[in-house]
Amino acid sequence: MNIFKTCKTFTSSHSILNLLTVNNLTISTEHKSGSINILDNLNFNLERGKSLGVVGESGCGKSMMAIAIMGLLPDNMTASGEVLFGSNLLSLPEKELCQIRGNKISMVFQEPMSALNPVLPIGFQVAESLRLHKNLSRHQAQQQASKVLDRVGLPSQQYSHSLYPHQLSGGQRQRVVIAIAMACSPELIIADEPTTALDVTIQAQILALIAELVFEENMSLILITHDLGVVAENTDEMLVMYAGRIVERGPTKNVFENLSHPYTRGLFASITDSEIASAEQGLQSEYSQTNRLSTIPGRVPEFWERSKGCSFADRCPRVQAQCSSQVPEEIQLGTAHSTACFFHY
Amino acid sequence: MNQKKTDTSLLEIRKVVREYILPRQQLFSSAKRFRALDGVSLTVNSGESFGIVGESGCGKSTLARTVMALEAPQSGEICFQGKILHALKAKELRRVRSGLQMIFQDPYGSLDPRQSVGKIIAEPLSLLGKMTLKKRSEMVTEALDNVGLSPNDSVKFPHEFSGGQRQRIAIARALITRPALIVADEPVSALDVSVQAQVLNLMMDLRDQHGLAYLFISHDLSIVRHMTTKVAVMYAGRIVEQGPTQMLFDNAQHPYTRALLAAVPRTDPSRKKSKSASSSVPKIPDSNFETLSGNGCAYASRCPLVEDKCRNIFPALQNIQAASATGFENNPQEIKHKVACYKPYAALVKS
Ligand SMILES: Nc1ncnc2c1ncn2[C@@H]1O[C@H](COP(=O)(O)OP(=O)(O)O)[C@@H](O)[C@H]1O
Ligand SMILES: Nc1ncnc2c1ncn2[C@@H]1O[C@H](COP(=O)(O)OP(=O)(O)O)[C@@H](O)[C@H]1O
Ligand code: SF4
Ligand code: SF4
Ligand SMILES: [Mg+2]
Ligand SMILES: [Mg+2]
Repeated sequence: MNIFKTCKTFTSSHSILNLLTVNNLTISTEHKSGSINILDNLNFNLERGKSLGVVGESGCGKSMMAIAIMGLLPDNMTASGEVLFGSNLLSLPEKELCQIRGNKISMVFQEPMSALNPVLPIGFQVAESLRLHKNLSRHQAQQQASKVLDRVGLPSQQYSHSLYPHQLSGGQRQRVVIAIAMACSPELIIADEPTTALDVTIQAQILALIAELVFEENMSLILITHDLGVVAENTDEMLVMYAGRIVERGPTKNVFENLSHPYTRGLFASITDSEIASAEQGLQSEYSQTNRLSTIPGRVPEFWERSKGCSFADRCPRVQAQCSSQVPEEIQLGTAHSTACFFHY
Repeated sequence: MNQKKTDTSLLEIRKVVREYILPRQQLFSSAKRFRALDGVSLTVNSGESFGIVGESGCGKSTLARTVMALEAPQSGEICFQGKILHALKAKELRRVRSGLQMIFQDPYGSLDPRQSVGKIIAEPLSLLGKMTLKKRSEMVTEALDNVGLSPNDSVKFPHEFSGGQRQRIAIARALITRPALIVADEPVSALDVSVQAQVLNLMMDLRDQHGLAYLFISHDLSIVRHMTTKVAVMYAGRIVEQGPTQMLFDNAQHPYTRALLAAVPRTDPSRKKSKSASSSVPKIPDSNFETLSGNGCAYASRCPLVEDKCRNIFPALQNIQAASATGFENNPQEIKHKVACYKPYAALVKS
């Protein structure tokens, strides 16, 4: 049944538990006033077989983090620190990175059409990925591609693999993208808002499909989303990002049991669906009145607008003088659960 | 015109059918017709918010365009403030249209990037006829103020604003003619949750201050639940369930409504699927409305409860026989909880 194993060639050189270790990852770019950090000193580990959720509003740096790990940063940006995946990906030459991208680390993007070639049949596109990385003959690659498409819910009896992307629905296209991402049995999948453009019913199916494949292949998953519900239902660990930094992290269960950073609580309270839950946690009082929806006032600052101290200060209901002069360090709250706030809950 | 008009009914949509002619597959094959709206009826009263939910492709935007008289229905009527829209002469239609405005989903595409915000907001004023420049700029300032923007913003251009602010501009443009009804087609779907809440709060405030009615279209069930008092669930161009919002969500009857509700992710990690058991997600196939045949229940190909009868005759919208559905007899303004399904949930529970 396990079709992906058949083309697996990579043998891990490091037997430690962690598949991916990110150390002091900082991304900067030139802006009017000089070099400015877009991502600021990111640190985290991801164990083999675990799924990590990354949440935050748009502009917080989630995609930037993914792109940096993949070694796809635009030319006007520089990365420092380490992305350890076997070796340090940041110092790997492009040629070797190509051997890793799409092969050992794959990505699934929000908009499936941007990842697909509109003029090539879907079966061919999956096969190309296999031919590129696995040295399969055209025929072998096609057979394997067909199996992979079956596996993601596009069986050839129902969906001809010579269909073109535009002949498929949004959900079906995302299945093709997942097939391409999974084709080479990568060890890590980075899914950047994979279901944001889809209907809820299709979203649930796509997330279930990703979870199932990741589990069966013992892959690791980084699931980027702005939807806390998606994180809650699909991940083991989570990071909350704000303005290029990690502001809260921990096992997903622990974080939801004790939302400790004002930003995380603001996000949680903004969700219409969580009204009942937030009433239980006493969130209503600080973020909203009566039947109005809770909001976080203001917006995420652009990276060149970030303030000196805590970058959440101008939106935070708990802000005090100290917050605008000093950057809060992460404080350990319990097993692996930490928060970067002076006056956390 | 033989209609039972009550003084508060603002918009009446009666058995509207909207068909599109699909491009021919081959030169000599006959052109196929596709029914994007198949006999939709609903009533929106003054000052109330009526929600429309359903997956993409079910016909929500087509309904919005038809209500806005941007497209004419093949049959059926759209009646706004007692006038049948597509029967009006151009001049009169313009006047009626000033009472009817729209907000679109995409805050980037819906604002002309080359026009100043002031010009964009003033655009619908042409519907009201001639007006002095002074009056015009007063109304622009007032509209900006209504949505929490400053008068100085009128000389700026759309690219200087964030997504949430652009949607405020779109709302200001819709408000400026002081409409009675705003058709909002996915007004916050392109925004972050935190910003969604800001825009939704604004829409609720404006509703209360100006007595606005909304036809509020969204694929997001939790937002519709919060924003509306009545709701219709659409599937493949038809209403398959409708009722008072609270009642319908708490007591959903149609298998499709129930599947939609079950699919909404909750912020509750204990719902995390024990990995291998992700089969708990109902395996409804993707919607593929194009391939539907005319007869029978359109949901049959995805429905876990389907039986032969469903495929042959379309189930009509019928009142739910539950105790919760009664009590509106002496209040004709109210909407009854109705469902178009041979096996509504209430019947299953009983047996
Ligand atoms: N190509 C780019 N050049 C310069 N700045 C960028 C580029 N892409 C994104 N940014 C900036 O980087 C920050 C983080 O963006 P991004 O990673 O896309 O956030 P997210 O994925 O969380 O929405 C934002 O301030 C954004 O404006
Ligand atoms: N101008 C058009 N020509 C042909 N088909 C159309 C046209 N506009 C919409 N449709 C079809 O009508 C159906 C309903 O579309 P739409 O109203 O946009 O749905 P929704 O807004 O619910 O996503 C879709 O299947 C769509 O492809
Ligand atoms: S450090 Fe201060 S401003 Fe920042 S989140 Fe905590 S309380 Fe708010
Ligand atoms: S009528 Fe039949 S097919 Fe349609 S929703 Fe009801 S049970 Fe399912
Ligand atoms: Mg992003
Ligand atoms: Mg639409």
